[in-house]
Amino acid sequence: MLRCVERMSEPSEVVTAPAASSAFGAAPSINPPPPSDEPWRFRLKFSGQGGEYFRIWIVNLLLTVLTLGIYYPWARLRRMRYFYANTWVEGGSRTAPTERHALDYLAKPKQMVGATVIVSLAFLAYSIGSRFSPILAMFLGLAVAALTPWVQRAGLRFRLANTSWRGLRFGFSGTLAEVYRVYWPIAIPTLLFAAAVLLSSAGDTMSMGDDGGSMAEGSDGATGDAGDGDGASGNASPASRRAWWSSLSLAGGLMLASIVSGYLVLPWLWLRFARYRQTHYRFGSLHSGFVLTNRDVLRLVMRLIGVSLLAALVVFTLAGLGAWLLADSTSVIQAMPRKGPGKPLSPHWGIFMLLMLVGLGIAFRLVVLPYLWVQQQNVVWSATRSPHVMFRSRVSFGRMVRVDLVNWLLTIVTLGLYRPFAEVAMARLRIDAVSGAFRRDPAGVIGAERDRVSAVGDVGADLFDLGGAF
Amino acid sequence: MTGVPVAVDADYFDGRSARSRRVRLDARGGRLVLTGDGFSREVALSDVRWEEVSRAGNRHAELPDGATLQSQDAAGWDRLRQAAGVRDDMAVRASRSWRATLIATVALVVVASGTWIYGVPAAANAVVKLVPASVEQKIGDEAIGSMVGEMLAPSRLPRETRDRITDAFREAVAKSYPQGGAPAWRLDFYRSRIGPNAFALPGGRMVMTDELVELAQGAGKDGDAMLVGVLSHELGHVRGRHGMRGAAQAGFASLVAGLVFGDVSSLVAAAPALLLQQGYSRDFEREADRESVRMLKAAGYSPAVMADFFERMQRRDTEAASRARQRNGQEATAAKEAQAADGAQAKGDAKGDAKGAEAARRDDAASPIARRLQIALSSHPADAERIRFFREAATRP
Repeated sequence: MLRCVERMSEPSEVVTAPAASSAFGAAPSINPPPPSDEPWRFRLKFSGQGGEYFRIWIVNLLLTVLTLGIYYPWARLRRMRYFYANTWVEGGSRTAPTERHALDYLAKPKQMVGATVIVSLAFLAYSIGSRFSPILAMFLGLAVAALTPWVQRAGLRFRLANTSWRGLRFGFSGTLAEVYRVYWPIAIPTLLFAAAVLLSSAGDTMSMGDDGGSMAEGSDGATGDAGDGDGASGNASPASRRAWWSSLSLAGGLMLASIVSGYLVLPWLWLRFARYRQTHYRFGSLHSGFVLTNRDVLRLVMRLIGVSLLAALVVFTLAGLGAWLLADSTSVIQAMPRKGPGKPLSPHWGIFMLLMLVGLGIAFRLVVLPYLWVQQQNVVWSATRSPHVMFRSRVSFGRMVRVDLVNWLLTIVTLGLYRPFAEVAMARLRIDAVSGAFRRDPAGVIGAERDRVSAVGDVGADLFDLGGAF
Repeated sequence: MTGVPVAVDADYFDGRSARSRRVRLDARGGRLVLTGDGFSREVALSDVRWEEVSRAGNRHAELPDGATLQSQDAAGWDRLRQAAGVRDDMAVRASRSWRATLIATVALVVVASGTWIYGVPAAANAVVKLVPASVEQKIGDEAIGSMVGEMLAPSRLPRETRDRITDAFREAVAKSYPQGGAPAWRLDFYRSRIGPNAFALPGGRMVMTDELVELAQGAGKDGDAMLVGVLSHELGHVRGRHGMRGAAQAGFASLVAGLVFGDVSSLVAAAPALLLQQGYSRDFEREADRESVRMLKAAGYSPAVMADFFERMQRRDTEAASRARQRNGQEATAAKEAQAADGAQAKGDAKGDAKGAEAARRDDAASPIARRLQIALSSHPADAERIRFFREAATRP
């Protein structure tokens, strides 16, 4: 099996498009030959156009606003369908001629109307309820968090079950138990946080005994000022005071550990969810697989940190240079507002700090973030392989930066009207970069039993912004 | 429909295997006829589901048993579709023409502002009417419960003062509603962390802070009239159920924004909702001010006392601000530096924006509650418009 993957791993032999179209000019009644056992290489091609999608988008927008959201299911279907129906899979093997078939998104509006109503009501209850009571807001937030894995799985199931290629629907076979198991590492920072809160509130009650008249301080005792500490522990014995302090510092430590472990757990969670998602795609009897390891993710994180540091270094140099140049021109110094009676900071430093902050923000948004997108797609899809099928993704970082920069600038300049053009440009960049191979001609695939799936997850993932990626 | 040759080549998939079969399609006598190598099939045209067509996208139709047809011959397919009498809906036709989409763009601006001004408040009103009074009361109690301890502490005003104000207000209510029918209310006094303030919660609970009473009492004999005016303003909120309506409006606004911009991002969707909310709460304030004028007049006070009151608030704010400046001259420099930093970051990161705004409001004592409830009697310098409103009301009979 390993040899087969080796053999499949160079998908660049795909017959080019002109050859494909001439093949289709042939006599109509000759069917393609029976599926061969040769590896079947393919690549994806996106054929959408910004101007065309803009017209769909603006009409969707108008009708959705006009109907106070009732048109939303139809709008969403039209949008999804435009992108799916313009995603072509071109492929062939040594013995099978090149074929070219697009994906399609075949959900019915009727399926989505009920789901939209349910999710909208939940959304309304959430946003109204969380306005008046912090406790209610907390519980609603917890409920949303608890439901997130369910929504993610239901969304994937719905989307795949309604995605068709070559007359067959895809499927998603991940179970509910599995998706909840994906998220167990969250328990670590959560338990640490809960322990910290419990400890600090225990410390509070220990010392606050009779202080009912004054306003209760929040649970931020660890960072509270000295006056606060004195007032709170004024009539307590030295021993209980010591206990109070040690429990508070322990709580602070736990809180810190909770935050740190939260960050540490994030890449791991990302990998676990990516693995869950990428191993459960089905096409008939074929299924996908995922070979990304912890070490690969560690390397990805390291690369990301490296790029961030590099970007920071460049910004640092440029800011230094800029501050030095700007500070030389006296007009800028005079324009600098002098704040307060104290000695103002040297203008060099002020300009430098300002340039640094602006530069870091821009570098993060326009360099680091696109790098993360590129890496995520390339790493995840290039690691998606099973005995049946393998993928390769090669999004170019340079082109991503360029496309993203243009998208970002023009979307701002046009007050959002460029948005649909931006979406199409991004889809083309991302989709055209994907190629792959089936172990053998997919024409031999027999469809599986079709699932009945609800659209609630799909709409929920969209409205609550709980899409598959973090 | 029968005369024109519309035959087109297509791939036929039976829906059970991924294997394609070349067929020739023709529309004849209300039926779609498929013929291929050793294969033929007929389906009533009315049973075929034709998917929307885009320029370079998939040409796709579904047959009733799940079989599908796809064609690479875009022009031929579109001819066949036309011959089959397929009519796209209006939305699809509109998105084919640049002129129609231009009109849609203009219409979008008009409709969006219409929805902003009328649609969302109307929908929120309808929803709030469905909420039973008992639920509203619970929400108000819950809100108070969460603030006591955090921001509010028991009042230190003498019992007589509190009773005197309550009685004066009760009398004003009785005079303003001679036939009865005043909204149910309950007034509580608290010492607060939020400075002079008063607010109304869903279910008719009104809160007045000790600091506000003290501020008004500094005005001498007009003090009680001012307090009655403030409480009347709050009763205006209660009467209009502004608390619940505000919450429902915010909910609807963010829902519509979410549905419209859902494919963009929740951050983009949050911005218009926030803007909407500020507009709505200004309308609520005006409505409450009108009620305040009406009640003051009915109770025999001049609405001008409210203008005096706002001026007192303003004076207090400027004095407090200058005191603060003197106290921490050096610190202010550092804080401003930090603010500038926050602001700069916001350019790259929309979340930082909120942080920057927060920093700017840090000194504003009323903001925690005002932000959460949107209905507090604001302690911002009352704008000139409001003062003028009460002065003019005083000159009219």
